[in-house]
Amino acid sequence: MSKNLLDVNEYEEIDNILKKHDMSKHNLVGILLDVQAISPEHYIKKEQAEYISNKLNIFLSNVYDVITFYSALSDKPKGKYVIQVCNSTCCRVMKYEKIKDAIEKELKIGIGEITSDGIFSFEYSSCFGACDISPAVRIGENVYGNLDETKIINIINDYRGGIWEKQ
Amino acid sequence: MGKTVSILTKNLKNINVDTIDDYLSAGGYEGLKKTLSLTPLEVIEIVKDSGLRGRGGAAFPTGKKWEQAARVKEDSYILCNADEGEPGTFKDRYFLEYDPYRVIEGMTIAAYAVGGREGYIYIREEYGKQKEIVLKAIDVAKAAGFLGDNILGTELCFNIKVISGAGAFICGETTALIQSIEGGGGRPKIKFKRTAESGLFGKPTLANNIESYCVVPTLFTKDAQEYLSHGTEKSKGTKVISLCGNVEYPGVYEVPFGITLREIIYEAGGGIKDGRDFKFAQIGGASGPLIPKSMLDIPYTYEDFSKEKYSIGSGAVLVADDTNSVADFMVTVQEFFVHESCGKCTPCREGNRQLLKLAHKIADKKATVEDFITVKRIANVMDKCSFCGLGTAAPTVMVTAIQHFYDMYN
Repeated sequence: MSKNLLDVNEYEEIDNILKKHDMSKHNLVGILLDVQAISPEHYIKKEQAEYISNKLNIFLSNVYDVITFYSALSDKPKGKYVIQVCNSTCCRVMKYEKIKDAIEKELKIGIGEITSDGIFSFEYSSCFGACDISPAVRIGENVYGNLDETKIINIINDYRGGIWEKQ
Repeated sequence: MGKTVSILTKNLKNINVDTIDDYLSAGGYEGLKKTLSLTPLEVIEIVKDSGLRGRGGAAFPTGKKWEQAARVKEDSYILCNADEGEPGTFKDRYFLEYDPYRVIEGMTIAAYAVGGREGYIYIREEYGKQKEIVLKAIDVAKAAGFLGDNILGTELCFNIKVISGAGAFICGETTALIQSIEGGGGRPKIKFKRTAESGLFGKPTLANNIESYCVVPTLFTKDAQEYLSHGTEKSKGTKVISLCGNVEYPGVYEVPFGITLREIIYEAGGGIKDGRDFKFAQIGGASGPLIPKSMLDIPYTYEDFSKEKYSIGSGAVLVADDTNSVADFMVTVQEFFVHESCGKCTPCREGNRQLLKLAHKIADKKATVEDFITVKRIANVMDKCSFCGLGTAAPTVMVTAIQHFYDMYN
């Protein structure tokens, strides 16, 4: 068990999250989502996973079972803003590929990659229920729909300009 | 808008959900008040008589489910499945966002009818904003005496917790959803007992889709008569559908059962976008059948769909115009299932992988006659041997696509 790789604040933050979830292993999914939410890189570090498994008295493999099972949890770092483009049925019919290509061209990265400045990462997502405004992308909790090439570039530029800093 | 109606959906985008006042003035909680004057058994009888069937996709008779739960002596957990994941479906999101009190009221009526003190709403991670709205609505309802102890001065005590999913389509399956709430990966589990007897934490559990709960309050108000006047003998009432794809007006619509697909697409949806031609529609989500032009006059009912061995599923109606290729669409659907199969059982995990390979072959125009036979063979194994509904329904698109569009590949 690696002890000193997290700083004191990080332990405290995890303790608070665990407390909020009644220290219950039944709330593991919620705990991991909350722990991931405090990470600017949107992932769960190995040390955090180990600490949680110790605190909840469950196997580390149980923790990783959950982290690797769910799409919303990650054990690898991502960009500050994760751009997810829906590639499910409705967005396919609405030609999401145009939006995907525009994002790739603008950010100069492909699916599954992070920009060199660490600001954006880009991935596919299964349907997130924005089919009424398809084609759609999701950046964090924000969903953008009825997109075309120009709109998505403007949105990316807004994020670059830091106007979403507070969100 | 032709034949669409506004009974269950009358509040959507019409009320302010920050307070409960609008909901109350729109007739909210009249249903609960009425049920509290009845016995739980009478409530269940009315739900049974309404012919309501599970609106999440499985279409199990809701009243029967409630009856099973009520027979169990212990309290039941009242579970609301808000893990709306079927691609092309977003009507549950509308209820969470624009009419959260209706969901809460429906669950409270269920708690009274089957005996329950604790409710859970499992909301998919993707609906983070909607989750906040629901959490607030729960607080507001509680402060107004519609949740908590002694609801409306009766002995009914009921509280609701909200649980977030984490991005897994399979968690819409009840046993997987339960595993997820219990803190594990959401893999379906074999059921030795009914969920009504042994569900969440091994306790009796009543699990329903959001829309099913949203129908319930209506059954006990003056709107009931209008609601029940719609539909057919076997499919009573209305269905809330998610209309999307290449139509002029995508959105959530409430339609009476018995309406035809043509009416849904051309009247409610305003027809195909930009005046193009209809190619196919997919009904009920990623695992739903592809419907060709020649079948557009099929009435939208449980019985007419089951005659064709189809199901109306979650209520998604995804329309594709003539710019779309059926084979490319197959690839998209199979990619989805390869990603979302939990991997627990071989027919689903491997079957979907093989179907994806075959879909690519068909899309690349390299498929042989044997490949089409292989699709049918794999689909048959998946249908018969998969552990849960995901695997059994996953080949539907490829099977129906070949059934209706095979000529295109000859």
